Amino acid sequence: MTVNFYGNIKKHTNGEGTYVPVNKTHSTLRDVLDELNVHFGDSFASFISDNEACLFLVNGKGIKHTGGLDTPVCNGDIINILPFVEAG
Amino acid sequence: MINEKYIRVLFVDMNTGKIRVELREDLMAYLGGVGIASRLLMENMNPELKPTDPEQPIVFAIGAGAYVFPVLTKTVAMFISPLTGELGESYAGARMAMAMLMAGYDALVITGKAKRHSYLSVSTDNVSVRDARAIWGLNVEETGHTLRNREHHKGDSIGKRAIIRIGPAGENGVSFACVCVDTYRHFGRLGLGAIMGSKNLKAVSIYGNRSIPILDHKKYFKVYQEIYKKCTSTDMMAKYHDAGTPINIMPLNQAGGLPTRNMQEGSFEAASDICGDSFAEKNLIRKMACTGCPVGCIHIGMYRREFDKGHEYEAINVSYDYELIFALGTFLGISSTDKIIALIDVVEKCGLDAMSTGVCLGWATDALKNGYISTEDTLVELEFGVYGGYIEAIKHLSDGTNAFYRNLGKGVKHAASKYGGGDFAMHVAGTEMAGYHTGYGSLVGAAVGARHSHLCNGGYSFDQESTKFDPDELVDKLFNEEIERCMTNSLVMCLFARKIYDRPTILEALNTIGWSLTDEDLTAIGRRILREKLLIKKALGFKQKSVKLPKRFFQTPSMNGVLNEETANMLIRKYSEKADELMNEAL
Repeated sequence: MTVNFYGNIKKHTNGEGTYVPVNKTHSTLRDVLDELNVHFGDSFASFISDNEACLFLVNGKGIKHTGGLDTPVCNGDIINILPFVEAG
Repeated sequence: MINEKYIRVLFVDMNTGKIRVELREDLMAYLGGVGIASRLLMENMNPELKPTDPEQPIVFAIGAGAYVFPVLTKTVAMFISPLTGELGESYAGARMAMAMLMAGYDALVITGKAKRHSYLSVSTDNVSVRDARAIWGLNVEETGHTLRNREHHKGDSIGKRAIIRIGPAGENGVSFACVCVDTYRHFGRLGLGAIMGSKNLKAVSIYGNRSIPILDHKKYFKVYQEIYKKCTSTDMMAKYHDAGTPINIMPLNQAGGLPTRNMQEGSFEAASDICGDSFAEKNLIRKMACTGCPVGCIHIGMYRREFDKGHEYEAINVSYDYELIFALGTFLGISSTDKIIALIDVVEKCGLDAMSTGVCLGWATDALKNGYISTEDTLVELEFGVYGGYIEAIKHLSDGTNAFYRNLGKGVKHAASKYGGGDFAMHVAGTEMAGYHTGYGSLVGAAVGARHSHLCNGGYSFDQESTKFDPDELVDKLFNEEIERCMTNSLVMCLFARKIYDRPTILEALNTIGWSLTDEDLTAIGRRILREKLLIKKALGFKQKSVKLPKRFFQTPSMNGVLNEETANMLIRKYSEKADELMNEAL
């Protein structure tokens, strides 16, 4: 499993663009984010807890109809965390 | 409006040249901006007549707090749309809100048709209908240049004057002709340009130089500074200044929500060539701001082209944004920033709405390929990724060269009704789509939004939230967000600042310029305005349940997977019930 970070998300990951979870048994996206929060700290945790900060994709797709943060994940999945798209 | 208990409305009859001013205390209940414009549109329109009938009004209005607080910079235009036959509502920045405020008018209502080609000149001490026969037929750039020289107000005009104008597309009645505001901003959508053209109204110049006292200067300045600091010293607005909205290209592309090649796909293989960073590296030359905004989100891109043999070169400067890169870029398969700027330039000069133009050309390309139309209709080859044909097609669209382009100029829904290909005519309720295919939020949001815009209720945002899909929750969110935006569009706040202008900030700011409102008042104002808009739509014959969405929305996967037509219709029905309840409320 790989997690990729894009745009301003990297301000909260010490500039890192990719992270491979240590725990290979995560079964939901929420589990993966919990590990990321521990690894990257409060700034990251606080940022992604804002509902309008990030867009999560699992294998290139949005998570609205796959369970939200409870979207199932498994080894080999690619998780992308992108800046929220806004218009005006 | 500032420290006054009435809204000052200027009425101009283009036919007689007569003007009158009304001081309307009753309009204070609508706050300003879209609120007062909705009421004035309802009062002055005639649902029995067509949108371009001379009797129909154009209403321009500024907001409570216009110009005197950061980012309250826009003017709203309301009219009956020639594209959809129902509510026309459009917003533009630049200098117009400042000019109207300094000229002394909160709203401007224009009716009638001038006897000859004319433009309207409004200033603090004079309003007159002037001869525009010499500039009728000029493109948008030439018109602006000429009027800047004419409307100089004894050398005092710089920074105090706004000029809005139409190009040949508006003169020729293209249903999605736009109005250019001070070169780089627009009343883009829904065809205000054609309505001005139908009134023989080439342009409006507004100049103002009055002084407006702020009664409690200390209190006002404290609030002003707090808002200014949020705009400039925090991350809240940084991305709009940095790469601007084109930053959205890559995330939407990765997410599969970027409409490509007439929405055959949701991602574009060349997205990285035309993303925000690419435009910044290759073409960006400066950033500008609307008057009263410290952010500077207007990105000006330049490219250099040979316009004639003999080493004749010129520099083209246009403002570019995400929606233009979508409509004239990914939607047409164009993978070069220079070529997108070239397309924007032609669209600008003609005075067309870029989004509707791109979507119409996308349909035409698909229709040509699939045999619904031929090159006898299009006059040029249209092929995704090949920009030369599109350059010529845009000019034909503006000029109405033949029956095909005159039909296409009535919008993609109309063109498909004539030639076929309705399944891939990408409109929502007659309005060409915006650049988001993110899920039920964006699709249903556009279907139920008062002006069928992604900005009515920000549906695309709800598609991105990490909560699970819940139909009732989505409908509530769309409805409540539209009410909230009705209230903020009466300020008239640039929507980029929606996180800066939370409710306490709005109340505090308005309090320093004479308003005494509560949080409940703001909600009531929002509901009152949405109700007014829904009643206007009903009076004009709009029926929510009759909206039929083109099939391709349910074929090309969105960011959140393939959408189901029955689910979309169910959501629309649920929303309609809430809208009907609001219309029946006594407010």
